[in-house]
Amino acid sequence: MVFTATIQSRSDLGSSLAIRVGRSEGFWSCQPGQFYLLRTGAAWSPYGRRALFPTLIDPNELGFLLAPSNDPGLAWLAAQPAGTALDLIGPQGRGFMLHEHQRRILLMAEASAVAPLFALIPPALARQASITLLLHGRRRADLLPAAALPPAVEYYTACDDPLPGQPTTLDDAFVSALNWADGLYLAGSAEFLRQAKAVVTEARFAVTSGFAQAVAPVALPCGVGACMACLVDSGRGRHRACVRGPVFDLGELAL
Amino acid sequence: MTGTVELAPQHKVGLSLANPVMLASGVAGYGDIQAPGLDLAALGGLVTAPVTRRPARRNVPQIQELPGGLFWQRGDWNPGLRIVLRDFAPLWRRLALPIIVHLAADDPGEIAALAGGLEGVRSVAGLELDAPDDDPRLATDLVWAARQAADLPILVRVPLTAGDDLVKALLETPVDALVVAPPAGARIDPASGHLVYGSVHGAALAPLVTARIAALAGWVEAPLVACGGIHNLDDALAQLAAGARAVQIDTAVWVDPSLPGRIVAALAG
Ligand code: FES
Repeated sequence: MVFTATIQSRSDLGSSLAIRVGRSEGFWSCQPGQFYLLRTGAAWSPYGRRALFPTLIDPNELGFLLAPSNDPGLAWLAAQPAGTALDLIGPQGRGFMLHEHQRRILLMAEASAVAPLFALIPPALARQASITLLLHGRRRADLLPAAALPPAVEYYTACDDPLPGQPTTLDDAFVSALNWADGLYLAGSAEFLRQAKAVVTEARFAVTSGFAQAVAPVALPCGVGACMACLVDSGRGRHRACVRGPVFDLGELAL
Repeated sequence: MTGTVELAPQHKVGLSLANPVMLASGVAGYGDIQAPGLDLAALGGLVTAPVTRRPARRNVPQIQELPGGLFWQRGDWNPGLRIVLRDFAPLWRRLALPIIVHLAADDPGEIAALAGGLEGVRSVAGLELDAPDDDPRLATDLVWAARQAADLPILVRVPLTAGDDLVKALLETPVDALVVAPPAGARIDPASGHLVYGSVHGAALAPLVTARIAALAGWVEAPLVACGGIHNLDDALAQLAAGARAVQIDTAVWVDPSLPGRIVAALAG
C-alpha cells in the first residue's frame, strides 16, 4: 500500500529519536520485521526511499526509532516536526515468525539495528512470554535508556566505552541467556550475526530450525525486489532480502 | 500523443505498444516487482532485467546513492535463461503487455544462443541488447547474431555517452529501434578504494537524454526510445516531443511507483 501518514509526536530516547506516525484512514497491518519504504527529502534528493522497521505497530499508529546516523535521508526525517506528512510504501517483505510455543524470548541486537526487535515485544508480552533484551552499542550514548522498555523486559547492555565495572561485550550474558531461551531474535551487522551464530552453535551444538531468526544485514536500495542489490545466501539458495526476507532463519543464513 | 505506438515498423510482426510508456530493463526485475502503486497492466511495455544463457552468480549488483540520483553497478547476477523462462514466462502471459527480454552478453555466440532460446516463446514480444559504446564492430555483430537466431524485433541500447559512429554502424544492421540509455560512469568504491564502473541514473539526465534524442531524430529513421531521467510528466513530454517514439521510465519508479501510470493517464487525457 502507498500511504500518506503524519508525524504525531517526536521524543528523544537517549541519543536516538522516537517518532510516531498516524494516518487518517485505514489501519496499519504489519508484522514485526517487515519494513516500510519512506520517501525522504524533496525534489529527489536524497534520491532513494529509506527502509524503516517499525518499533511499534498499533492499528492507529506506527513508531519508528532513528538511531544517530550520517545518512542524509534519515537526517531529513529526524529534522521534521510533528504534523509533517510522510509518503510511505509497505509493509514490505517477510517479518519474524513469533512461534506459538515460545515463552522465553531472547532479543539481541546492535544498538543501531535494534528497531525491528522492538516490535516483537508487545505481541510476545501479550502471550505471557518472558523477554530478555541484550543490546550492544559502540558508544555508551547509543544504548537505549531502560525506561524505553516495558518493565517486564529484562535488559542487559554492553558498549565499547563502558563505565567502570560494566561489560564491553555481551558474550557472558548471551551464553547464559541461551540456556534459558526458547526463541532467539537478532539484528545487527554481518560480523555481529556471525559471532552470535558461532556462540549458538557452540552452546546448542547446532542452530536448529525455528529457534533463531535474524534480520539480514544488507541494505535495501529499492526495497521492491527489482535491483537485486540485497541478495543474501541461505541454505536454500540466493534470495532478495527485500522479498524473501529481510528476516531469515539464522541457521539458513550464510554469513 | 497517446495511442498505439509501433517500435518495429520494418519488422514483419512489429512491436506494437498500447501507449508509449515502458519500464526500463532492471527496474522491475522480471516483472515480479513488489511495488504497491505500480500498475503494470497500464504500461505500454516492460523490459526485463538482463538474462544470461547460464546462471551468473559472481557479480552481485550494487547501488550507491548520488545527489539526485544513483550509481548502479549492475553486476551479472541472474538465474539464467532456462530458469527465467520457467519462473517468469507464466507471469508474462498473465501480464498481457509486450515483454521485451534484455539479453546480457558481449559475445555473438552467447547472444545467438539467448535469442534462439526465446524464439517461439509466445509471451516474448522483442529483444533488447546493449551496444558496447567503444566497439561498433562488436555491437553490429551482436545484432546480426540475434537476428540470425530469432525473428523477434530487436531494440539496442546505446549509452548517452556513445558517439554517432556507433549509431551509424547499428543502422547498417537489422536493428528495429534504438534506445538512448543512461550513461556509463565510474567512481571509487568506498569499501575497496578501487575504481568501479556502472551507469548513472537520476533526474538530471532528463534534459541530456532529450537533447540526444532531438539530435538523433534529425537523421535516424529507426524509432528512438528515450531511457533515463524521466521523473515527471514534463520530462516524458519533452522526450516525446524531441522525437522519441516511446519512453522507458528508469529508477524513478522505485521512488514513485505510481509515476508511470500517471504519465500514461496524462498522455491519454
Ligand atoms: S532492495 Fe532491490 S531487490 Fe531488494
